[in-house]
Amino acid sequence: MWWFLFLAIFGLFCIVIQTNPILNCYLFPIKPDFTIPLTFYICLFQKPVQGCFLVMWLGFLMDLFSGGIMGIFLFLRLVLFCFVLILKKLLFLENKLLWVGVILLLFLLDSLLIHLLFGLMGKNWGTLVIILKTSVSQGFFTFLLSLLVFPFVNKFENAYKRTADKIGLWILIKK
Amino acid sequence: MEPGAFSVVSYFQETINTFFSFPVRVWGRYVFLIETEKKNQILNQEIKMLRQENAFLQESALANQRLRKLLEFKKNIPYKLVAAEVVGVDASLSFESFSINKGRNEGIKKGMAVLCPDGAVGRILKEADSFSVVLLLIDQGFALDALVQRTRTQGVVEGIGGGFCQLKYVLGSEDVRLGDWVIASGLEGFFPKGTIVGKIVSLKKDKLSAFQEVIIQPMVNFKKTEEVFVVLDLAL
Repeated sequence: MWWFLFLAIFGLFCIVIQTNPILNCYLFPIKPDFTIPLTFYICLFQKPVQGCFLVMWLGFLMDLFSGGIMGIFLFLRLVLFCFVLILKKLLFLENKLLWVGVILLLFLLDSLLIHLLFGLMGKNWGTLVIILKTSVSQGFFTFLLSLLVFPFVNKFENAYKRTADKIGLWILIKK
Repeated sequence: MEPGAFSVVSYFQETINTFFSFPVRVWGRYVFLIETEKKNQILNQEIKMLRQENAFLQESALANQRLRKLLEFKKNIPYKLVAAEVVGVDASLSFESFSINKGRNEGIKKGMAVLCPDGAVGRILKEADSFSVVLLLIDQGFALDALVQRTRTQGVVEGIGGGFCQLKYVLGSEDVRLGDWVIASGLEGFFPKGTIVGKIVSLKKDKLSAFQEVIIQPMVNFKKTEEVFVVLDLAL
């Protein structure tokens, strides 16, 4: 439960970082999207139902902090989540280099889906080439930033597990 | 005789001086440098502090200039305005919006116009108690009834992304030129009439189409906008 809450708060933290105007103007050459690597992480290491709720939360936050139609990112993140779930069953996702490839693939898929949805709504969101270029560079840049952000999640997870083990032992001893 | 003796003595004097000045130079240039290094460190720190202080002062001066401009703008506009600060940009690459730190508590409602001294910024898309999201002019979901100031040609401004807008439904026969100003017509009830939207930067006339393709560059630099005004009431 605590871990679930931590990931939910961490998601909020990531969104706040990526919407910060100061960081976006001076630090980031292209707006990163931490929700995609986080969706991948959640899908790999969380139970499907918990993960689904977390991804819905991330999508909801994206909808809240963006000027799009409410629900568009919730839908997109759920699609990505399902895609990774299927991929997880098909591929042996232990190799970290493969993770990079999958994350880039998720960025591409996300952009293509947005392009498709925009097309359905009768809007034009750039040409396919621009979309592919933008999504690849955004994906790569987000991946680089994720290398700075995600070790914190791992460290917190390890600390959390150790504390949980200690508490469990303590309860056993008391009994 | 005297000059010759003087030159010999001066050579001697120079040699003696060099001999004695050597330890002094060693002391001054090497041993004493330890003290100089300390001083250098202190001075470097002072420089850093002064540089920081200078940056703060420059920032305050710029903020002062910006706020003065905003104040003048507010004085000149006869409508009820609420000043707000930009606190966040859009979370995605697909849409163009930003968040401001004022909301329902200040009387802000969905659809209200958002301006800055340079011109129209966008409109309120969603609002919370003390937070709102502004849909920018350049977003594809934005639409505004507008006029070409010189000829009073009417059209609808729509965002096309990439920092530009388009003036739609301008007939091919209309006299529209590059560099013409596009202003809000005031017909849709939220934007004050005459608010600058942007300048025409591209024109395309297609023989097959009844309308011209008019591209507008907004006057507002959305990446550098820090403070905006929300128009609460046009009736005042």
